[in-house]
Amino acid sequence: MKNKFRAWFSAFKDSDIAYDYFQNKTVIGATILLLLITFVSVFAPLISPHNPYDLSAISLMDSMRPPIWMDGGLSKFLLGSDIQGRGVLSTILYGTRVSLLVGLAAVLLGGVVGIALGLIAGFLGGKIDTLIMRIADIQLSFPITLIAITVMAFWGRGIFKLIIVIGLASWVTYARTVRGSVLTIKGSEFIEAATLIGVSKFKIMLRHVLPNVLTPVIVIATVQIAQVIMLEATLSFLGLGVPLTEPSLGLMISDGYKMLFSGYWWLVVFPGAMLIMIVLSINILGDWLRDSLNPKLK
Amino acid sequence: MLEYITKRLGQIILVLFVITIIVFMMMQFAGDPISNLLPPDAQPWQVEEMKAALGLDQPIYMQYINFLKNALRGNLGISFYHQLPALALVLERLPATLELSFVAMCISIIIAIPAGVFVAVKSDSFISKGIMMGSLVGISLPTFLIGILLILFFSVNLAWLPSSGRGEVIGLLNFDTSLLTLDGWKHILMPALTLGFYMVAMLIRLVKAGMVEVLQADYVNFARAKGVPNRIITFKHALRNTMIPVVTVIGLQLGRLIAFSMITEKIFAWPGIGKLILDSIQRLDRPVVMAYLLVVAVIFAGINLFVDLLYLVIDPRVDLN
Repeated sequence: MKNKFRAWFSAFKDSDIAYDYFQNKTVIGATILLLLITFVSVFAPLISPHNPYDLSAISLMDSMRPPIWMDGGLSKFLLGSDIQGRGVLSTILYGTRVSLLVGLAAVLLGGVVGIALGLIAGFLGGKIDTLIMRIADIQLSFPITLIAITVMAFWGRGIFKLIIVIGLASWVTYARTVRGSVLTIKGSEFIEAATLIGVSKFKIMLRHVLPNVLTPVIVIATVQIAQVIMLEATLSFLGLGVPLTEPSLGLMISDGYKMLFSGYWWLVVFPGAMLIMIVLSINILGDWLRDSLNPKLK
Repeated sequence: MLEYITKRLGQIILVLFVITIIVFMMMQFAGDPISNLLPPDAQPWQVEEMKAALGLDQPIYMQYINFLKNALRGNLGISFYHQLPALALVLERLPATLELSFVAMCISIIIAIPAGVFVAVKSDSFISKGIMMGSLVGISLPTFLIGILLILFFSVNLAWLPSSGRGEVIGLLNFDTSLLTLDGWKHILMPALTLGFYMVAMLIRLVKAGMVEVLQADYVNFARAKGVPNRIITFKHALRNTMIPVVTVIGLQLGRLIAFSMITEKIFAWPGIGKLILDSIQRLDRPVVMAYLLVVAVIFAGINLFVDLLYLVIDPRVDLN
């Protein structure tokens, strides 16, 4: 096991991708930032100064404190506190958890559904293909944001609902890409050979076609995580995403927006900065992945 | 050509039909509009009367058939809240949204195309790297955050620009427009920038990618060998061919802008259809939501069709079938 890993690692170290990676300081910076954000959000209960959703830990006496370096700042609220006396830093850490969870889960759901339908459409062809791609065309004529806002408005808030709605709304991108790749390799000799020796269609799809179409999907999925996190924040900001009882960057910004003219800038700026850092670092990674994995996609 | 347009129009009608069914079903999960319209202490007979008046006492399939019958006559129902025809409400607010989207689009094109060309031609310069990094930041900023940060900076801190409303409007033909007064321009500047921000970032990347590819083409090399000046190569030969995909994307983005105007309009209290729909969703005002979705769907389909036909004009190689 250890040797295998070592062999894999040295092969990775000598590859073009690794060389390209270590040449690119922006990408390394983005990776470090992203790992750091993931770490602090996963371990938020251990790291954050207090739990902002434990009612016994917060006090209205502490509300609307500015960040620590300003007059009236308290040492327990590094980045200030909101109207209910919750620390902005703690709420950000808990909110980032939800953002990352929704981002990963929705992309996973959309990816699985999209890849499956794309494989089926491309490999089986015929009427199924026409049906799937027609539905995709119809859905693609509406922006995902509009679909998500409408459905969430009727269905109501909830983290689980968010994942389902955003996930299912984003299947089209994957399906179209996978279908395109399947069509190009469908006539390949190795697929023909597998068919000839009697491998079932299902097995060919999973074992032979799927691994060969995954590269563009990985690129799309990376960028999609950033898109989903932005969409989640937008929906929560509009009051159509994460419920009020759960932490969320979008909700924090929405609360801060209501008090923008009273000078409580820290309620908007810090969660906003966190959101930008998450999305930007994922986008930098996605850009680099696209350029290095598949120059043709540029 | 005519056959193609007929086929597309048929598809549009099919899409509209599907939308009405989906929205109608979703509305059933959305809760009871009656409870929003009557005070909580309303008598049972008042509730029944209200239901009968709004046609909500009939079985769901009858409600749908009635809806379709009326819709075909251009009547999408009376808004539960405003007590006015829903379609008229949406159409009345549409010009404000179109104005905002149009200004946003113009700003994006004016900024993005020169920037994209510059980045492609002088890719190693310091400014180019700054522009590309900026465009990456641009696609990483959610619309609502841009709006809020602009308000925080220009309205709260500097007090230069107003943060809500349309300002002074002047009636032109049948519509009000804020583009004819200074006050109107002050009001539209920030919302339009907010709405167009993503498009600027995306267009820069698109123009750059297209230009880089075209500048390597044989005919560009040939023009160079012939001694054509760089300026003419860049603008006449390369940019023109880059514009084909760019025009498509700009067209499709106009639809996105109209949809995304929801968020911008909410933040800047811009009295367009986006604000109307968000308010109506909260009030469970079904006819208005339905009217909005159908109007937006028609606009989208119209834009898509227009873009496809435009494609045919600017690129003779395209075969629609």
